[in-house]
Parts: sequence; C-alpha cells; structure tokens
Amino acid sequence: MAILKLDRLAVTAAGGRMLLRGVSLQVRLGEAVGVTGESGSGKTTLLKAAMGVPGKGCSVSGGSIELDGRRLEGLAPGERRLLAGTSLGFIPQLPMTAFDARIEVGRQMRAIFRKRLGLSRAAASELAREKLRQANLPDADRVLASRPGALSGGMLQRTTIAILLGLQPSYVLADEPTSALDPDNREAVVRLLLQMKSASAGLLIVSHDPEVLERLCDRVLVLHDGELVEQGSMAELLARPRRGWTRRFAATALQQREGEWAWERW
Amino acid sequence: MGMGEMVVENLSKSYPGSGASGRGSRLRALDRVIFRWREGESIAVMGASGSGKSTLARLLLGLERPDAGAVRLDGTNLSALSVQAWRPYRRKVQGVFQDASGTLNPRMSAYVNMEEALRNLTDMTRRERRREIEGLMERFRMERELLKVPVRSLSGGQQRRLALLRALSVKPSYLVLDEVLSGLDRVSCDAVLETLADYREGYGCSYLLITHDAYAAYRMADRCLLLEEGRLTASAVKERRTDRQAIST
Repeated sequence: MAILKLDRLAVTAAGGRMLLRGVSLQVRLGEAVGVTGESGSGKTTLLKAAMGVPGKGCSVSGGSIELDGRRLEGLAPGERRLLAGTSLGFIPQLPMTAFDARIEVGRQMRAIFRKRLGLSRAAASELAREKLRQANLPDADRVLASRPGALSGGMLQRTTIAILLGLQPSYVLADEPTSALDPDNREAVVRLLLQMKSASAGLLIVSHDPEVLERLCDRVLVLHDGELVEQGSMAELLARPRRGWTRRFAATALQQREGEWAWERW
Repeated sequence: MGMGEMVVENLSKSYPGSGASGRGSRLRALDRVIFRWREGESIAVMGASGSGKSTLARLLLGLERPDAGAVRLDGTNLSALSVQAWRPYRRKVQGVFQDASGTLNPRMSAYVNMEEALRNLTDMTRRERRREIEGLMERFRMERELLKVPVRSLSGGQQRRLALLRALSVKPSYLVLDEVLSGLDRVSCDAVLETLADYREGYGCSYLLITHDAYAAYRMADRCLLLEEGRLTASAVKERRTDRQAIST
C-alpha cells in the first residue's frame, strides 16, 4: 500500500514536554499535503519524526509512522539511512545544512548518486549535469566545481532539488523550502516541486507562504501546540478560518493578493 | 522638517576578491547606484542574496565608505565625514539589521540597551528616557517585564522588535531596515509591519526596506527598486489587482 501515514503520533522532548500530541495524517503518491501554524507549534518536529529522526533528546512516545506498509519509528539508524533519498527525500529551509561545506558540490552529488543508485562514476557525473540543468541551473559545470559556500542560497536550494530529481524518492518532505529565497528562486522552487508532484511523488510541505500552500497543496493542516486543529484546502481555510492564528494568517494571505508591483526594466 | 532628501549618487564599492575569482581580483558589490530617497517616502530594495543589498545599507549608514560616489543628506556629503563628524546625523539616520546581536548587547538587560541610544543621541533626562521607553513598549504591545531580562534570554523575534524600537526611540527621519523580517512567521512578520506603519503615521519616518519578500515590500513601501549584481536594474510602482483577478489567481 503506497502511502506515508502518521497515526496518532506523539513526540516528547527530553524534559518530558509533549511536542506532538497525537497527530494523524496521510500522504499518497502524487498528492501534496501542507502543514502550517505558528512558530513553536511542532511543524519541524513533525517533519523530523516523519523522516524517522526525531530531534535531539526527542523520542516518539506514541503512535506510528508507516511508509508503504513499513513501520519507521522502531527502525535502527542503519536501516533508516537506506530509505533516505530513494524512499524519502528532504528539502531543508537552509540548503547549506544539506551539504558538506568543505567539499565541491560535484563530488557530493556524484557520491550520493553512486551510492544510492549504484551508478558508475561517469554515469553519476552525467546524471548530476542533467538534473542541474533540469533544475534551471544551466551552468552545471560551475555549480559542480564550486564549494557550497560559493553558491547563493537559491542556487543551493535548486541543487538540493536537482539531487532529489535524480534520486526520485517516492515521498519528499520540505521544511519551509522557499522562505529564505528571493522571488525568482522561490518561483523556480515552486515549479520544481509541482514537477515532482506531477511525476507522482507525495509531498509533505511545511510552509507559511500562502502562495506555496495554495499552488502546491491539495490539503493544508494547521498545527497548534502539537495538535492538528484545522484542515482543508487553502481556499477553504482562507474562506472559513476558525481559530485565532488561522484567522490572522488568512487575513494576511488575502491582503497579499490585493496588488503587486508593476516592474519596469531600466 | 521641510522637504529633506537623501541622494545616492553613483555609489560604488568593491571588496578584495575571494579564492574563486582569483587572487588580486576585486568583488564589485555595488556599481554606480543612483536613486533619491525623499523624506516621507518609503522604498523597498529587493534582490537576491549577494546582489549588494547589505553593502548599500552599510554605506547609507556610514558604517563603510564607498570607493566612489556619495550619499548626500540635504546637501551634506555623508560619505566624506569622519566617524566623529557622522555623530550628529546618527539620530536622523538609523538602521536595524537582520542580526539583532549587532546592535544589542546580549548580556545587558533590554532596558539598558534601549536607554543607551537615547543617552548617546538625545539630551533627555533619565526620567524622560524611562517614560519614552515604557511608552514605546506599551504602544507596540510588548510586555514591560521584558525590559528587565538580559537580551540573550529573549526570543529572536523579540530581539528583532526590540532592536527596532531602539532605533525608533530616537525618532529618526530615515530608517534603513536590512532583512528585519526574514525568519519570522507570517503573523509575527505582520506584527512588525504594523508597528512600522503605525510609527510612520505618527512620526513621518521614511523607510528603506531591504527584503526578499515581495509581500512585505508591497505592504511597506511606496516604490520598489531591484538590485542585481550590484546594479539597480529595475523599479516598480504599485498596481492593484481587480477583484476578478484576485479570485482567479
């Protein structure tokens, strides 16, 4: 059964504080589910738990995480690593955190493709080039030869996505994938996520960006203090927000549509 | 107040190049940037990371000197002034940066941090300073209790708002805001935007908002400039969407 399923998932921090209090959700292939909510409501905890790696000192204290019929919460780290990339992909908010700062991007991409896909060195290089171009990074050779620090945040985020385009994981989890990007890169990342979705990946996206939630997600869930308190399509949430935070969120999202900049090139 | 203005004339700045571009080369951060910032007007400057936005902020605030060009405030070339000579203008032109720890001393209480600006830049008495600070906290709905704790024990969002209030407390005419909204969630971001709009209405401060966020720029600014690889390449004015368009998008 192809589905990523959290069932009454509870996560507890080291001091005993409950970070997630029984969250249930399902992501099917070709479907995008959004998660939003105020800072500290448990969004990142939810993603980490779904990756099978609850944060430092945190543990899954109840419920289950199921990936295509396999329970993840009890897996040993080694078994979990085998899922990374090919079954589950991750897009962080700050792409820098996904790379080793000391090593050229090309070497890192090749190593990932060789290890996960069993490719030869030459085939891994070719795939890296192809996927960088697909991620709208035409100067692939420059990207491959650079260390992560020499690339802008937007270029690195597209590189992260290029890696996922190569690995084609069934499910992609993204933590605020556009929040640190400028408008052009943001648009590029949204389009790439849409491509992944139409290539039937299942997406679970944490975001505060109303446009991202609306364009990408079939359903949006609102977290508050570790619990799911509202859900619906973004249009439904905007039209009938129920709780305080969601109401304010809807108000700013609607305001955002009231106009835009009319640009003129010099 | 009158009709003051800040004129940015052909501003250029470069830094010693990094390894990637070869030894001895220079990285051009700003290239002949020209614009006018009139008193009362709020401008957004958008651009990708590395486009020179923060360099522009630092030059406007006199924290660095340009290689060429000038920043003129009502005719005075600020870029040619020494640090000492800049002091009288510091009250008029303030800045807030993404990283509040650059302005706030993390070990000192919020109150001491707030008071320092007023002590250095105004001739207010101790009692007036207290009244001003507590008034600002109230006006911007921040709990007065926060003033007593060391800045480092406050959240990032609280530190950001405190740095903003500190800059506003001296009633600047021009305020440069460098990525002060990044990392805040939509609702906190909106709280800061409202604070700024509210303050602008009351005191007529002009903002230069450096941001990635087209939404924040739209809410905050009268017009928008685009910085690409150190050059201003486009400008924008506001265009309202009709209701029909708003529904279909």
